[in-house]
Amino acid sequence: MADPENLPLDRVLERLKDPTPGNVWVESPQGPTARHLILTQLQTWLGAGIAPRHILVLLPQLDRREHYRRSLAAMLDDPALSAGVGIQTYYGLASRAVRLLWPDVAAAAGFGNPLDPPVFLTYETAQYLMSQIVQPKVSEGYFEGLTMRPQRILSQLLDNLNKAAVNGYPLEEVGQRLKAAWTGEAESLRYFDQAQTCIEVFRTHCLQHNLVDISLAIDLFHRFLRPGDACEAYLSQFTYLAVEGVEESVPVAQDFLAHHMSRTSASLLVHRRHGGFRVFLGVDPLGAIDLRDRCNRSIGVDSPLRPVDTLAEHIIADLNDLVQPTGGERPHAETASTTVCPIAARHRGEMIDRVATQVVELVRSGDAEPGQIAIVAPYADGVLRFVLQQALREHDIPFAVVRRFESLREEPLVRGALALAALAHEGWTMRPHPWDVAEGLAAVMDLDPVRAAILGRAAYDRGNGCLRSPTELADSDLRERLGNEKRTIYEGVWQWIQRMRESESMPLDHFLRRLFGEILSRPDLDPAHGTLFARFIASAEAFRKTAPALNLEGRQIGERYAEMVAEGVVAAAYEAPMSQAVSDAVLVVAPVTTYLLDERQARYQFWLDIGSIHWWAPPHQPLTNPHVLARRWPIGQAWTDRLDFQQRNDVLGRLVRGLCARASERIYLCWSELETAGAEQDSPLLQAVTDLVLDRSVIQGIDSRQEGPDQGGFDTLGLDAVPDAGPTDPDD
Amino acid sequence: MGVAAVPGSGKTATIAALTSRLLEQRVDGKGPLGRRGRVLVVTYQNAAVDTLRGRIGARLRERGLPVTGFDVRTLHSLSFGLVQAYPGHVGTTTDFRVLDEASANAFVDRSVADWSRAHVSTWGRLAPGEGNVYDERWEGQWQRIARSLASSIIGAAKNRRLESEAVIRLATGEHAQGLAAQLVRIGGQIFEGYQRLVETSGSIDFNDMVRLAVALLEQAEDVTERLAQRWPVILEDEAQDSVPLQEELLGRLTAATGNWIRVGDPNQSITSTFTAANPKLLRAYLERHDVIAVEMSVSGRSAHRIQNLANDLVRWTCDRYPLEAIRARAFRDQSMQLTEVGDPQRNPVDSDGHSILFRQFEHRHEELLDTSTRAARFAGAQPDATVAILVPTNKMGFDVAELLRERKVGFDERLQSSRNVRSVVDTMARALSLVAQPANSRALERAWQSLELAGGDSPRATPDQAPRLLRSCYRPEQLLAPREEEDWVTSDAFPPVSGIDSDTWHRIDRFARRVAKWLPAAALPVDQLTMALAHDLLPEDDLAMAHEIAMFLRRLSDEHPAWRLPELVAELSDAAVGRSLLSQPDEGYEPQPGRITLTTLHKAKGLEWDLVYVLGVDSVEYPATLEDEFRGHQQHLGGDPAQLARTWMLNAADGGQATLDGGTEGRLDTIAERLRLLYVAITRACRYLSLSFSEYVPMGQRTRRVEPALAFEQLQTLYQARTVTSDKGAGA
Repeated sequence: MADPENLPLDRVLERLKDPTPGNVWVESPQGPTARHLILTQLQTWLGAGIAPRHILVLLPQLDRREHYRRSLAAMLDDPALSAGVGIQTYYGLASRAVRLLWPDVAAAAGFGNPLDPPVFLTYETAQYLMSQIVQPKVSEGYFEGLTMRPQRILSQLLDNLNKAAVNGYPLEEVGQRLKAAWTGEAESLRYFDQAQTCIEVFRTHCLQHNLVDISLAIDLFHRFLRPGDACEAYLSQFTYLAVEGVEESVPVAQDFLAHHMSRTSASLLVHRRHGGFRVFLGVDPLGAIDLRDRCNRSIGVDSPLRPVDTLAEHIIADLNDLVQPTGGERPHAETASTTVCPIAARHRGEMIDRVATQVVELVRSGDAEPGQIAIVAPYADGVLRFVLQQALREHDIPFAVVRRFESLREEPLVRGALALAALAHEGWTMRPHPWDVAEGLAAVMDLDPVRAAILGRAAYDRGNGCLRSPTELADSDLRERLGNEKRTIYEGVWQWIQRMRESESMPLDHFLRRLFGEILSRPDLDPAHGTLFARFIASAEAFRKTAPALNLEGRQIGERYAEMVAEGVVAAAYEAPMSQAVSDAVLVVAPVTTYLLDERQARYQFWLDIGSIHWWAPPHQPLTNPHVLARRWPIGQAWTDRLDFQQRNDVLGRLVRGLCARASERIYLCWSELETAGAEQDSPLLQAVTDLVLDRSVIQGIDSRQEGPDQGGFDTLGLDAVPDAGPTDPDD
Repeated sequence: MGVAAVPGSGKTATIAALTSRLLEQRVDGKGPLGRRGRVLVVTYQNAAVDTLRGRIGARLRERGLPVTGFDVRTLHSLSFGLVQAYPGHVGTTTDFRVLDEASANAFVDRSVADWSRAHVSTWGRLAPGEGNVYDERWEGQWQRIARSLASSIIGAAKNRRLESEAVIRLATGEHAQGLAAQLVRIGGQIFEGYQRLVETSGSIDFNDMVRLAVALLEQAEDVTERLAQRWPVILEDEAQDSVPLQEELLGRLTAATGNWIRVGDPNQSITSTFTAANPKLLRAYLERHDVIAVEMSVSGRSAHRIQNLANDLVRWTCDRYPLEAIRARAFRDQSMQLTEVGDPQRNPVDSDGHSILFRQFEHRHEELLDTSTRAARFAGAQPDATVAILVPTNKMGFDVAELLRERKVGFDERLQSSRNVRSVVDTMARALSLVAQPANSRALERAWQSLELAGGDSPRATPDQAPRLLRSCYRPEQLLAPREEEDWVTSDAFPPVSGIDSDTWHRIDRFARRVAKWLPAAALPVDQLTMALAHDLLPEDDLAMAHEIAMFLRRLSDEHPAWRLPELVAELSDAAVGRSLLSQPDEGYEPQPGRITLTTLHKAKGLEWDLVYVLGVDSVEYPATLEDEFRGHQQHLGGDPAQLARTWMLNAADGGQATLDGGTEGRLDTIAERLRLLYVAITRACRYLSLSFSEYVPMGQRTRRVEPALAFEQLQTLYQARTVTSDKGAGA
């Protein structure tokens, strides 16, 4: 099909008000336009009397579902209709089909107990199971010579399983693909064989014990269910299909779309230009474009080049020059330089301070509302969060942090809750650390750290693994030190825990639910804590449900789970949804892809640590490679350094375009010469922008230190923030 | 090109001038850089990076050129960048950690302990005497020997890119008989355990970093090619300290262009006996037929007599040293020339009296006392001149420091654990202890001290009441977390006291407000907490050290999941642990006129002073014959086991037959290196020089008699002969 006809947004929306059946492809700019288009189409369909249950909306991320429902409800005369529309991710659709049609698939797929129901594994339980498989292998010498934390080995093995599934080829092909593409030392080929063994053992164990991990759910849907009549009948109800962000879909999802579009009365596929940010998770932006040929109509929403977009063009030209030197002039440099402002410093701490000062200045001067400012970084470490938080709080500027949670054990709320769980379960043998008990008391009683330490020291009887009763503490000066109110709260907490101790032992997730519902939830509870706790409960619940298949039972389950958290085996490994962040606050987001997958715009963006290698994603990991494991990769083709380099530049270019598309006024480029550990910062992104700054010399007010040697950038460096521990769920 | 530059010949200025000339050519696209190429300058220490950047920047500004187009890196920062950019190629992930020295030592210790437990009879048989039975004293001694043996083998093997298996293989079989081979086997086995610990912790040590960078260039031709395009010219500073891996890395980077300019002085190679550096490398390079060797023999640093003395040392050693093997080994036969009229840096004029003193003391204490008195007097009398005391060991340096402190003389300390570095650890340990125990009044006092340390306050005229007062604080919660609803004053947190001035209360109030902000950071993982506090407490230049502490705590936390902040802080506060962290090289240092510099000989390199005192020039510090006493020497094992094993292993790896046994080789290397160290010491002096030794020196619990160093006697004779000749000449 020819390139789409570009029209202004209002005309495109007008066309979507025509309920004429057919398949429509729309190219949209980044930002909220895609949602706008889909909602208009849904309004049209529902307005034309199409029953909601016939409509399926596929999204790239589940956390946007509620946003959709609310917006749709607000647009309809009968808001209730919005509840009936199926809004899903591809993985959600697949796992729902597996649940519904389990009897159809269980025996055919080779499950050991086809008459028993399946147990769905979460990322954490899959990781736990994989660790049980890998640990003995490591003792045998597997992966010796690789410098990786055990967690990284597990996540890369799970990635391999998922890549086979989302690309729709047999698991057995994984090792073969990786080996055929390897150009390094022949000795390292053994790692791919070892990885292959591990994932096959994992899959066999899952089949034997009716365990369904993400990869298996997708595989079952793609290979066993979809070709069958029952599934066809189930899917045939969706005669109207709308897809947001088709460029973020994986190959098997594209297969499904290609097939299903031919059976629908109408489809709308919205493709966001320059998207496809999650190649590392297996999405295939090129494959998505092929779907355009299956549409009757193709339209594009006009998006003229704005000054901010020229920055992206400039950077991309510079990156391309590294691959194929042209030595040519940069046509957009003059315009681009008017939209950027550098914040440079020798040390990282200094850079963070300057960013904080600038944000405060923007807000206090009235130039910007807090909600118009976004700070993006490849990672939001504690120092960054702490310093920004202190500075912004001092000026009463609201802010929200959206970041990746790496490990549950690093969350005080989780440690504290597990300590209270141990105190509330008389049968548990573990004795919580006094520090955790104090954290637990601080959380449930809303205590400051000093009083929590005082109370913890006085109230915790470590020898007996319990809290002292208020009567036992009556003689101490606690009442005076804590205050009457807190003293009364402690009595309530103690009584509650006593009741738990005396009642029949309950599963950990049930306990946590009650702890949250009866004690922890308060009107002033930080929403981020609420989300974290919900994840925590879900994690404990999933573990309990999987436990029998892991040979754990009874009391063991809760305690084993607590141990796993303490050992760091349970990696929270999720990103807080952007939808959670309030819109009127300064937004701090990491990694960058999280920001890009949302539609939020900002007047002012701060790009932090642009000298960090974390902006330049290395797709190639010791045990996995998303490109080589992609369906379109010709088996046998070598993964050369040149390709590696091009791919990384391509991904960086997409990130830069995506960011620029979300900024309307100015971008602050922030870097420090040295990273926290004192090493020089160096990246192609920094090279591209310092060239812009130094060569054009049009930016005023640059720090005098920049007159020192430029950072140069490094045409060979870079990586993704957490490339190999990403959520393996390809769509959620 | 190879440049052999004598001390004071202006290496840095030459590098700056060369870089500037290359960049001048780049403006027109001429010369080896073309239009986009950059100059890479590789140097040995972080301190030199700043100096070089400053000098090159100044030179470019002078020439009216933009300060851009060059990068200055240490070997490690260069390697770090490469490995971080392409982790998958070399079997690691982007989040690898660089093992700090304390952690690397801890891993060696653990591996030594594991090995020793499993091989009691092996090390038992190595004990002195006939019995070869277990004894406690030998066990302690063996642990020290094994640690030194392992470190030596690991460093040397990694520099030869030998893995532990290869080391063990070298030392196994019929050809590998004798004690040295056995020691290599033991070292190899400990290396194996060490490497396993390193790899599973997801870390790489410094040697690994360079080794992996070399492996990367070897495997990835495209990467090497791109780097060669980026850096068509590489300048290597301090090339005499180059280790084999550095030579290989830079050799590969310049293979295509051939533009590798190595600048160094083979006669100042003073790290070869305890690192993998080898002075033969630069000498061999200078003699290669395809290398243009340039001599920079003119030096304007020292007065004529001092320069003559240094030249005499070289000449005597090369021509007449009693051990023939030393004549060719110690020095490259080169001599310094005086600058000519018109040179901007003319040599200082010889003073009328004796500008060089050879002094002998009866007891070491007298030597130290007399030297510190004279140095203090000189600093007072000549406030525009610089003066240094150079000591051969840190122990002697601590003794001199004590004497200077007693005399209340201001001085800069450049010993192994300089006061500044020690204070960083103390500062952080004290600050963290408050976060760990916020309700503890002792911790409050320690936090006060941490702020004092961080602020570098000069001693107060009157005793400060605040620390004692804080220790008596009985309501820390009122001080650090006052309840908003309560009407309180700072003094309410303390028992009734009188005689406290309002300034003290005011300072305590300020202190409380400041440290209260630290407490919420307790929620962060320990490494991030450390950095967050460091950000508030330390000047930016100390942050790299804080990062070392953070990494150390992080490792402890990973290794001991049950530990919480109180245990981690206790470990950091432990004196021994604190010391093990204190191995950071000093950052850029400039001697200050009128202030004494107290430094080890090794740390004096690269610096110069008007007056230099060189202490302890005796036969123990500067052994001259194979029969002399050597440090680390084990009589019953025939020498220093670490040196024996290292030499044997390197010979075996080369496949050659050593002409001398490992013990003799090692002793010869030591003799040669100590002579070069003396040469470095002498050439630090511009106008005056004092060389001294003592007849009776403390050795452990006793005092023993030692001879002057052979070189001391020879130089004294040669100096007197020159003086007589000169006097005669003057008389004539």
